[in-house]
Order: sequence, then C-alpha cells, then structure tokens
Amino acid sequence: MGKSSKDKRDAYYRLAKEQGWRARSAFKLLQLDEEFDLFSNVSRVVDLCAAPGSWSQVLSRVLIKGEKFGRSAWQDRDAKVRQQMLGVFPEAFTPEQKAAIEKETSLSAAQTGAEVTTAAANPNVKIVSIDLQPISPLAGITTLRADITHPATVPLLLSALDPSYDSATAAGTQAQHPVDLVLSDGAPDVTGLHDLDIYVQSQLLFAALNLALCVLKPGGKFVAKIFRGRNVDILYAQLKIFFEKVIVAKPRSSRASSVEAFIVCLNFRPPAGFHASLEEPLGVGQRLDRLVKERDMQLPIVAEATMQSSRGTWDFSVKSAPTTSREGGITEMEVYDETEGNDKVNGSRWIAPFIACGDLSAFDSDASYQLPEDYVSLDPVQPPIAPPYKRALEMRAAISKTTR
Amino acid sequence: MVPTTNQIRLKRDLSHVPITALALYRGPSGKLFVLAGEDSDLAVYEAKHGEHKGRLVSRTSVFTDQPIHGIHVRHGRVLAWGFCHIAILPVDALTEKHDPAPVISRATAPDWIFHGAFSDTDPSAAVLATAHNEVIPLKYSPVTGEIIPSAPIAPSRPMLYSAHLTWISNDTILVAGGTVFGHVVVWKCRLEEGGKGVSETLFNFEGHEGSIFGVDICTITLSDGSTARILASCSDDRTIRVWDITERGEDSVHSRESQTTKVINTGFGGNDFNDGDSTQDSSERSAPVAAAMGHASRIWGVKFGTPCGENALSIYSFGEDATAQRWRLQISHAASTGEADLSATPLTGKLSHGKTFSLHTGKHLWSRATLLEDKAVLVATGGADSQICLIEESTLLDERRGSLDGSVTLDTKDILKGLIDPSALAISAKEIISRYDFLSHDHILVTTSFGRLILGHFRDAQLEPEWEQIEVAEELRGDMKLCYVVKSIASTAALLGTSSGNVYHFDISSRRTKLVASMPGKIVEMNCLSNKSRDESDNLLAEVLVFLHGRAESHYLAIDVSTGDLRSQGLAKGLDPRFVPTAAGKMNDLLFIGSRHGFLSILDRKEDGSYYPILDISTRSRDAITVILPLPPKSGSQQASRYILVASRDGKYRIYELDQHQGSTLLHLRHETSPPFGPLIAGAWFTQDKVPELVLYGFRSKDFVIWNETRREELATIECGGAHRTFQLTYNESIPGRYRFAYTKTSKLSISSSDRMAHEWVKAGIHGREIRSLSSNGRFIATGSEDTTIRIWEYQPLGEGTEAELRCVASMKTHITGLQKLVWLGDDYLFSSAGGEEFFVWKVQNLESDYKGLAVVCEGVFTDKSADADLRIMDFDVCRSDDGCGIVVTMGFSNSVLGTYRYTSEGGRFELLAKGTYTGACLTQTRHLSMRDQLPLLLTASTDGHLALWRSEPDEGTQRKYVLTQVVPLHQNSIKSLDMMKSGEGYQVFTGGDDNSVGVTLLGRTSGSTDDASWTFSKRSIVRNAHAAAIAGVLLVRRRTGVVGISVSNDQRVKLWRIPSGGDWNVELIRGECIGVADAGDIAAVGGLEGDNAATVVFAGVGLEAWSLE
Repeated sequence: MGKSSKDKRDAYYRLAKEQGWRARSAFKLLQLDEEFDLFSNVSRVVDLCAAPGSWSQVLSRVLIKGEKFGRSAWQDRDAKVRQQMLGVFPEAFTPEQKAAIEKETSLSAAQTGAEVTTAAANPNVKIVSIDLQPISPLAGITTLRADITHPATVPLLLSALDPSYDSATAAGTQAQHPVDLVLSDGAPDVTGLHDLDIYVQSQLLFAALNLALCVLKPGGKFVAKIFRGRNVDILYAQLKIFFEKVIVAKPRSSRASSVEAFIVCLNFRPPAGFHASLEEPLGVGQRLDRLVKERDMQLPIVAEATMQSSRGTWDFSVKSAPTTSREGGITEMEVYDETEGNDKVNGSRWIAPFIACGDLSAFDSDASYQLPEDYVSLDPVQPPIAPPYKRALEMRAAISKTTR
Repeated sequence: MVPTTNQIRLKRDLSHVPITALALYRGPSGKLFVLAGEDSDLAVYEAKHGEHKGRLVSRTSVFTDQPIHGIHVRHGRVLAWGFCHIAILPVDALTEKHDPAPVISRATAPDWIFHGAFSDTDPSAAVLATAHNEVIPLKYSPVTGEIIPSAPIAPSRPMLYSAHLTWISNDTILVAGGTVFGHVVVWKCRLEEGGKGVSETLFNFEGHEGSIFGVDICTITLSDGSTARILASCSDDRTIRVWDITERGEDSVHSRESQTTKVINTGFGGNDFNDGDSTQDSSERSAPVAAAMGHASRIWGVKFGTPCGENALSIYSFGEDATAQRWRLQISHAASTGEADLSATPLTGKLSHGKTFSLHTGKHLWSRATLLEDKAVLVATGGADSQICLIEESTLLDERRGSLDGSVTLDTKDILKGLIDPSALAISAKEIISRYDFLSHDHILVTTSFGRLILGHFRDAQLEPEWEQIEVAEELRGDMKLCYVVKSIASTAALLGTSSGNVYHFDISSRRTKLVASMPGKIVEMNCLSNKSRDESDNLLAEVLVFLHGRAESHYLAIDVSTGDLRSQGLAKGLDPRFVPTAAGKMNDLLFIGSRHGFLSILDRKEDGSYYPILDISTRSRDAITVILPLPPKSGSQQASRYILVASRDGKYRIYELDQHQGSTLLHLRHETSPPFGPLIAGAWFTQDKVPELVLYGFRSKDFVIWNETRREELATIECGGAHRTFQLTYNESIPGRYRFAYTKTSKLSISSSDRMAHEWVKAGIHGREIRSLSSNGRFIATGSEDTTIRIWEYQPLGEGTEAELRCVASMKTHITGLQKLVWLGDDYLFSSAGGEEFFVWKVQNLESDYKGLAVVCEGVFTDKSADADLRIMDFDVCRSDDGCGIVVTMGFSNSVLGTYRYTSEGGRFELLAKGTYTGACLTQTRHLSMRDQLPLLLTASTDGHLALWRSEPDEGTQRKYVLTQVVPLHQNSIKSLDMMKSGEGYQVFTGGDDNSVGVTLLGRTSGSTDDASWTFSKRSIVRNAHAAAIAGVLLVRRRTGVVGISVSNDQRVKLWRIPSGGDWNVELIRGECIGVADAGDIAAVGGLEGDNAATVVFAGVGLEAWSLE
C-alpha cells in the first residue's frame, strides 16, 4: 500500500506523521492514559520493547517536557459535527459541550494539529527504555539495548534506574528506588501459527512482568500488549495474582480487526511472601498456576461446583441474573459460569473486564477517510526497521535486474 | 420430560483445520499410516495409492483446548506434544479400526515443547526439548501409564523457535536449538541416574539473519568410509544452511568459549552469507558447509532425505510459501588436502536446488514428516489449508537412469547414433529434431530437419525409447524436410503436415507413409476433432481440421485411420478474412472454431459438403482460443450434448451452452474461471470416471502443469523452461499420473515420463488463508477467503459408515483483495464484496452433464466507485425488489457511507436509488428490514458499538437519501457480527462485539398506521465477558423450544445461548465447546434453521468445522 492510500485507510498513521510521532502506537498510550490516568503521580517509568520509541516519546513529552495532550489530538471534528447534526448521540452533549464543539469545528484546517499545553517540567522524572533494536535518542530518557527475556538485563536495568546500584554487592534483584509504571508494547514477528504466536507474546509479557516485579513499587501500574486469543483467560487469571485490578483495554487507535489489546494492571500488590526470582522466572514451570490456585483457595466459595465433562466442557446451563443496572437503557446480564474457572488441564481461567478507550469522536482506526485534494502525504518520522529478510529481497532484486 | 433448549447438543462432524503435526509409520503388516495433528485430535490415515475415500482410520482427542504440535512414533508407542502437554498412547490402537478407545497417558512439562524422542534402546525413556533450550528427561511406565518428567537440563536458556533431539548413545542426546535471534546452538546432554544430567556445549553458529524456524541432524558416511555429522537449519532470512557438527577431538576448546554467558544485546548479526559458496569466510570454524537461498518467504522446516550419489544427500525444505523443495547437498570431501588430517578438516560443500513441490494452496506448510526406506523417501506435508500430501521419491536412488525425475534429454546425435553407420556418414550438427507427437504411451514419431522420420518405442521402465528409422520413399524425402505438424490420430497412426501443403498418413504396422491430400497453402496446424483415445476399436475414421497460414478457411478431412484413405473432404468457409483459426472442436455435427483474437464461430455443414458459419460471437477474451472441447453428455439422457468448453490464452476457461431452437442458434456463457496456472491453457480432457473429472494442462512461468480442476489437485509439474517451445503430451484418461511429456529446449528433445502419481492427497484441503465469510443456501456453502478466492461447496453429512465430506464444486478468483462478505439469494445468485469497492454478482447453475462441476459466471460488476476506489464494502444485504424489477442491494462502506442500488441482470447494471452517511465510523453490518417506497428500511451497526435505524426521504431528482430514525449504544466498540430473526411482529437481533460481549436487542414496530410502519429498538441487553476475546460470528437458530443464539470467538469457544423473545427477558448460557478454528470469521447453518430437525452449523476462520446441532 502506498503512503497516501495508507493515509486514508489509517487515520492514526496520518495523524502520527502530522503530529511528529515515531509510530501510530503513540495514540494507543495516549488513549489508555486518558481512560486510566496512567501518568498521574508518576515520575519513574520503565518502557520495555520500546523501539521505535513512540511510547517513550509520549513519556518524554508528557512527563519530562510537561506537555498535555487532550482529546483534540485524535478527534475527528467532521465526525463530531456529523454526530451532532444527525442527533446521533444527543445524551453525549450538554449545551456547553455543543458550544465547545462549534467553537472547535470553526477552527481552520491549518490548526487541526494537536492541541498541546505545556506545564512546568518535572525534574524528578526517570525513564528507562529497553529494546533489542536501537532507539534514536529522546530528551531525558535513558535507552538500553538489551533482551528483556535475558536474566542479565535485570542488573542492567537496576543500575540504569539507580546509578548507585552495584550488582556485585546488591542483595537481590529488587530495585532500591522502585518505579511507578512499567510499560511494554512488545510483540513478536507473528508466524501465523496462532498458539505459537500467543505463546511467544506471553513470553514477552512474562519477561516484562518479571522485570516489573523487580522494579515496581507497591501500588504501581503495569501496562502491556496482549493477544486476545485462545486461553488468554488463563493469562488474565495469572496477572490477577499481582494486581488488585486487571482490565483488558482496547484503544480506538487499535484496529478491531487486530487481536491486539492492552492489559492494564493497577495497584501492584504481590502475594505475601512473594519474591521475584530469576532462578524461577514466571512464564515457564507451574509456579504461576500454583499461585493462582493458592489465591483461589483463599477466596470464599461463591457457587457450588457443577459437573464438568472430561473434555473440559460443561453440561448444565447457567442462568443469567439480570442486574438492575440499565445504563443508557441497556440491561446488563451477568452470566455466572464458574465451571470455566477450573480447568484442571490448562489452568484456572478468569475473564478480565473489557474497556474500550478513546471517546467516540476519536478517529476510527477501521474507517477510510477522505483527504483534501491538496493534501500532501508526509514521510514517516522514522523509517521502518529493516526486516531480517532484507538481504533476500535485495539479492532477488539484483538477480532480476541482471536477467532483464 | 418436556424438552428444553438446555438439551441441545453440539457434535463435531467435520474438521478442516491446519495440520500442525505429522508422522509416518509403517505398520507390521506393511501398511503405511499418516498420523496427523488436527487441533487437539490425533487423526490417523492409511496411505492408499489412487484411492480417495476411506482413508481415515481413527480420530482420537488427545488434548483439551490445545493443538498437537509434534508426533513421534517408536517402540509401538506414540509420543505427542503440544505447548507444554505431552501424551503417550499405543500406536496399534490408533491404526486398528475396531479397538476400543486407546488409553492415553498424559503429563505436563514446564515449557513449550519443540521436539521429543524415545530412546532407541529403552522404551521407558524419552526426552523433550523446550523453547528455552532445555532437555527434559521422561520416565514412562507402560504398566501404570505414568509419565514422570525430570528437572530440565540446559547449558544456557536462550529463547528458541526450533529444536531437534537425537539419541547418540544409551545415555547421551545431541541437541540442536535454533534461536529467535538467528543462532544455532548444539550441545550434548548426558543423562545420569535419578533424572539428572550433564550438558556440554559443542557449537554456537552465527550467520543466519533471522529467527531459526527449523533444524535437523543427520549422520552420513563419506566416500572414504569416515562418518560425519551434519546439521541443517532454515530461517526467516530465506536461507537454508548446512553445518558440520562432527566432533573432531578439539571440541573442549570450543565448548569452553561458547559456555560463557554473553548478554545478547543486539538484534540479528552476522554477514557470512555468500550464496552457496562459503569457503572464503574469515571465521572458518563457524562457516556453514553450504548455504542456499530458496522459497518466496519464510522457511518453516528442513529435513534430511537419503544419500543420492557419492557424498551427496537430499534435503527437503518446507516454507511459508506452501511449497516443499528438494535440495541436493554435494559434499566436496577434502580428499585433495591429503590424508594426514582428513578427519580434522571441516566439510565444505554445495547446495543445489532439485525440485519444487507446490501441492498446497495459500500459505504455510506447518508440518512435515519423512520416512527413509530402502527404495524410497516418503515425505508428508501438512498445510494451513488442512491438506495432507504424501510425496514418494522412489527414483532418487536410481543412478542407472541418471535422472531424478523420470526424464531424459537427447540431441539428434543421441537418437541417430544407433541407427546409421557412423563410419559412412558423419552426423551433421545441423540436423536437429523438428516436430514430433506421441502415438500412444508406447510410441513417439519424430521428424528431423533433414527429413528423417524416426519412431521411438518405449520399452519397460526405460526412459529412453528404442529408436527406429522409418524408410521414406525417395520422392517424399524433400517434402519431409518441410514437415511442420505431426499429429497423432490413433495409437497406430499419425498425420504429417508440410509447409508445402501436403498431408501424409503414417501407419505403424506397415511403417508406410502415404500422401492423403494436398492443400493450397502452408499447413500451420491440424486439429483432431475426434477423440483418439476413446473407442479405439471402432474409431475407424479420424476427423481433422487443417489450418493454413494466412487463411481464414480451413479444411475438413475425414481419413480412414488404418489405410489413410480420404473418405470425405470439405471447406470451412464464409468466415471473416481477418479470422485466424487457432483451435477447433466438433459437437453434434457442428464445427466450433476459435480465433487468435478470441472470436468463436459455429459452422454447420451444407449440402455442398462445406461448413458455413451459423453463429459468430466474441468471447470475453481478446486472446487466442487454445482449446475447444465438448462436455460429456448426461448419461441416460436423450438430448445431445449442449455444453462446450473453450479455453483461451487469457488464462481462463469458459463453458458455453448451445441453445438451438426454431432455426436459431445461441451460445450462453455459463461458466468462467481461471485455474491456478496459466495464462496458457494448452489442453484439457475429461477423465473416464463414472463422474468425469476435468483435467487441464498448460504452463505456469517455467513449468508445465497438469491440473485436476475437479479435485483442485496438481497432478504433475515439469520444469521445461516455459511455454514458448514445441511440446507434446500423451496422457491416459483412466490412470491419473500416467503421462509422457516431450519438449524441445535448446534444440534438444526432453521426454518426461510417469507411470503413476508420485504424490497423493491423504486429506483434501480448503482455502489456504483465513475464511472471512460464509453463506449457505441450503444446498451449497460459499466461502470467501483472505486468499481472494470464493469457493462453493457441497456438504455431504455424516452417514452410515461414511464420513462427512465437503466437496468443492466451484472456485472463483476474480476479486483482487480479500473477501469481506458473501450472500446467497435463492439457489442461483451469489453476491460478494471485498476491499477496493469490489462487488460482484454471480449466476450459479447446474449443468445437464455427467460432469458435476457447478457453472458459475460473473454476471454483474459494481462500477459506481469513489474516485480512488479504495474503500472496503464491509457488509451488504440483498432482496428481490417488491415491484418484481431486479434485486435491491444495500452496501455499507468503510467510510461510513450507505448506498442502495437496484441491480438488473440484463446487462448486469447497478442503478443508485439512495445514499446515506453515518458519523464517520466504519459501518460493519447492514441489513434490510421492511420495504417502504421501493426502498428498504435499514438496520446498521458500526465500529462505535451503536445500532442505527434508517429510513429514506426524497432528495434531489429521483434519488432519495437515508436519514437516521434511531441510534442506540449497545457494545463498547466494534460490532463484529450480527444476525436477526423474525419474532412475532418484530425482530430479535443478536450481536457479537470486539468487547467480548453478546447483545440481544428486540426490534418492534412503532405504533401508528401500518402504511407508515417503522421500527424502533424496544429492548436491549448485553452479556459482558461472554467470551474471553472478540466475537466475530453469531447465528440465530429457531428450535421448537425457542430461539438459540450461537456465538464463536477468537478464544476458540462456541457458546449456545437461549435468546429471550419477551417475558422474562433472560439470556441463558446453554453450552460451550472448544473448536479448532482460530480467528473465526463467520457462522452459517446448512438447512434446519427452523424446527427440530438436526441442523448442521459451519464455523470458518483459520480452518472450517461442521457441527451438528441435536
């Protein structure tokens, strides 16, 4: 797909270029922040699998430069006007908002860039970004080139966070000055073999979690990319051991057609007596499953166990208990399905609540947009990373040239 | 007991999911079995050459919710693994049909498993290799069935994408691991008492520039008697590399160096790739023995074959491009370096490409297995297309023939050297092979540029025929030099056409050549109108149409096959002088002639014995017509044949119906499609099966291809250099895979021969990419895939003693982007939409012929596109117009626009009736409710999670515009699926969202006059966390006990819900099942939507499954 047709097909690709982001994924973090207020009271952050660095760029601009990004960064003004004209979401707008919309929409096209307000920069901010690929320097950010799945990365990270850290004398792998937030937007090059991709992605997630457990302060937050596929509910159950709240979030800038979502884990509170251990890393072995089972044992029994067939399916219907919540005229049905919680073979399951974030007037990552005729397509802020088969492509091109 | 919806059961009847594991096993009785991992099931097939049915021997559910990724058979037991799960089960319980369900022992390892192997000597010991380069020893007790894994052993724990284990002694295992970062690690694991082990790193090879997806180890005996151990690896970087892993005594140095733990802080490194020649590499120790680049994309696996000559070995690779390729590794053993330290010198060699097997469709060969036997290498491949192929490479060892693929290449000297006295005449270098044809499988007739006529006789298994020079009368020799066409008319006779205009008859029994007729021009082609391979005995007359250079007229000849006497003669005349005939056929005494520019004429015989055109049409092709072939008539029918197949150089073949009544003649296009080769389709035939199958042949880039269109199977592929050459094929209409193909390349004659298929399909496949849309009309199921093709299937339900089966009856490749949506309207119309604003209308009909292919032709193409035509048509609905005038189509576009068109089949036109625009959000669902003012009231859903109702209002001119009547929120984000069903006065609407929820909405009529009825959302409810992932398919089914909703999600669960129609308004979960279809895109029911008859529900995504609802 050419640059300009991609501009139309993918509004966030275009916006990222217009607003100077290294990748469209910057909007995913901004929209997650809008929903979960991720950056409030945050000054120490670790960004894993950071290349090309768009999330670090968000951190740099928000935490170090003190810029604030409102919804206007990703709002589709045309959509807002149309919504208003069509009276589609009348309840969504108060008269004041309508006035605000009108004011906004009267802005000339030249001003459609991000609305940025700058506050005083925070001097206590410490941000460390890690990736295998080199990351172009960013103001105020320490970048490390390392493999997050490798044990040797932990001391590297600890000393980056705390210059006085000395791996030879340090007692453990726990940070002395822990961080408030750990982010990971890492994903493997997918093969197409679904459960292998899910496994490799979960290994990246566990590697990020392992590091988070070493550096995160109690009450801290952890946000990571997750593939919503088969057995993802086992992963949710495992993350719930360490955090009070675990939510699966899908920003509007992430396409509905993609399996990608983000796991937002709030209020870090590791189980009593738990110590992050590199000798027994999470993600391999049965340690996590054991922890989930221990936790389940401590919970009050809420429902009688029902029969489960040998194939792990369940034979009795589960009635819904309609709750009284009728938000916007919708009856919420709670369907209890406790049998799903105890899969003897594969591990305990739990479905984390889902939240779509980025408001409805945000650009739709699945929609096509018409651009003005005189629109000039911009070059990406950073060229894409060279794939491993680059040489194969070059050689093939050279061969076809000589035979021509 | 009153039946309730709660008693509804789902049972899987048919499964076509990616084949994720394969093993080959030769049973004690000599039967060959293929063991396949199909999601969590272990399916066992018997390899039966030439038979298509009854191959499935057993199907055993081994895991829950987990695909099988590896199968290993040894000591009568099967070791299967997937993710961290392992199972051991007896192989005879799987290969003997009537045994009770096998006892399965199961255990869990701490990590993802890439390989596993039983000990060669101890049936109770096995080892596993994990994704972190660990070896896990297993103890298995056959008595108790207990599997006890020991603690992992590892020298280092890099993340791997592949691993391979080999037992090299009773207690030592050689391990190869391919890392994510392009390294290959080789280490030795010595097991000690009590499950402990000692590791020793031997090698750490750098050089690949991408993740290593496959490794294999092999021990070879070199020509000097020494043995060496080699390793093959394949990678993301599209290369295959072979490494020398022979331990030569100085390894201690090496292992010490490799064992130090380094922080891998870089991406992919290394630059030692030198296209096969790697000897000059600086770091000699880690340089590969050989390397080669192959495959169009990533290479998923590599396997060693058997020795093929001195110091040579075959290697097979398996790619994302769905091909398997054979390579030849020639080791140039360092005999020249002197014998002093021969054993200490690392090996060098060269990898060369042998053959490409493209037997699968789409992408990904996920699984592979080899069985090395005395006379053959058996190679099994399993694809994402759910197909399993078995390739038998039996000629590999046959050095006597000097060929790997049953082919022989000859020049004139080779042919003539035994025929003429070499002392008397030197063979002129100028004498080259000119024209030739096969009389039958046994004989070939060849002419040379010197006017020599040579008959080749194939004897037994010899590839090269025995040659015999045919005496030609002195006066004919000059003319023989001018021979331009050799055409066999029977297994005993051939015609020779010369540029001087003479036609000669050659008879094999008398070896005589005689003049049949003379034409007023240069003969460029002779078309045999009668089918020479049928009715051999009573086919005494051969009908031939002779084309002359620069003439529209052609000459019809009827010749006595045995005597060569001319029985009848006529002219085909009256054609436009610009008509250049290129192909001809005969049906019902009518002549069909095709031209170089795609024109087709039908000619009838008049009293004067000549043929005159009664119909001229221009086909949809502007390229030369290459094949004209009548379809077999319907047996038992009194009617004459009505259909004729016409193939063209535009890569398509078409089927026309001849419509003759009251003196008028018409041709109706009934079918049009392109096979997966071309653009040159050179010929076609129908097999002599009870239900004839269509076989086409032609060229695909440098290959000659024989393709069974009915089964969608490639019968043969011969690399010949491409279409621009002289070639001839002889085939057998009863024995697939029996053929000889002769072609000229650089003035040499090559003959490729085969007696039977060298490969077979153990399991038939489906699309090779994700299926995005499904639609059923009760008779046929249509599937639309990411691979841009549409296929139509007939579903044969499970019967007494027969497996459920999905039979492909048509395949259309006209879209150029992935399919979005398919909808049937009745039995004969199918609509399809995709990206790039592609929207097609397909007319579907049955043919009154024994040939059972469905006739499908694209009748309408949507042309009212936006300026850049780059929108996706996400969804649409169709219905017959209530004024009986055409079909009303409403499309929802990705830019939030709705459009309703009237489609008329006359001319395939679309007329815009109304347009509307939503907020900017992408419209994902579009449905017609009721009609008002000739336009439908609409229900839409979109990526913002809202449902919307629309009505139309007058707009400028005759057009109308859509306005919203009601918009309500339901889901949090994209509504990915929607189904609705009439319920009393209203509709029940069932939705599935990206937000893991299912929604149930009741649509009711607004009060007011019935004339002006419109719709309103009367009730909405949502079940959050209905699934653990996005819900891309929903379906409503009415049972006697109530309406049931079915949802399918990316979490690979199917759930059944009781859908309320009012009253208590409770949504109940009835049942849930695991399914093997990943990335499910759609659900459809094959009949039984209403009532209590058993219904079949089909789920499709990455794979397809059919379940019966009972």
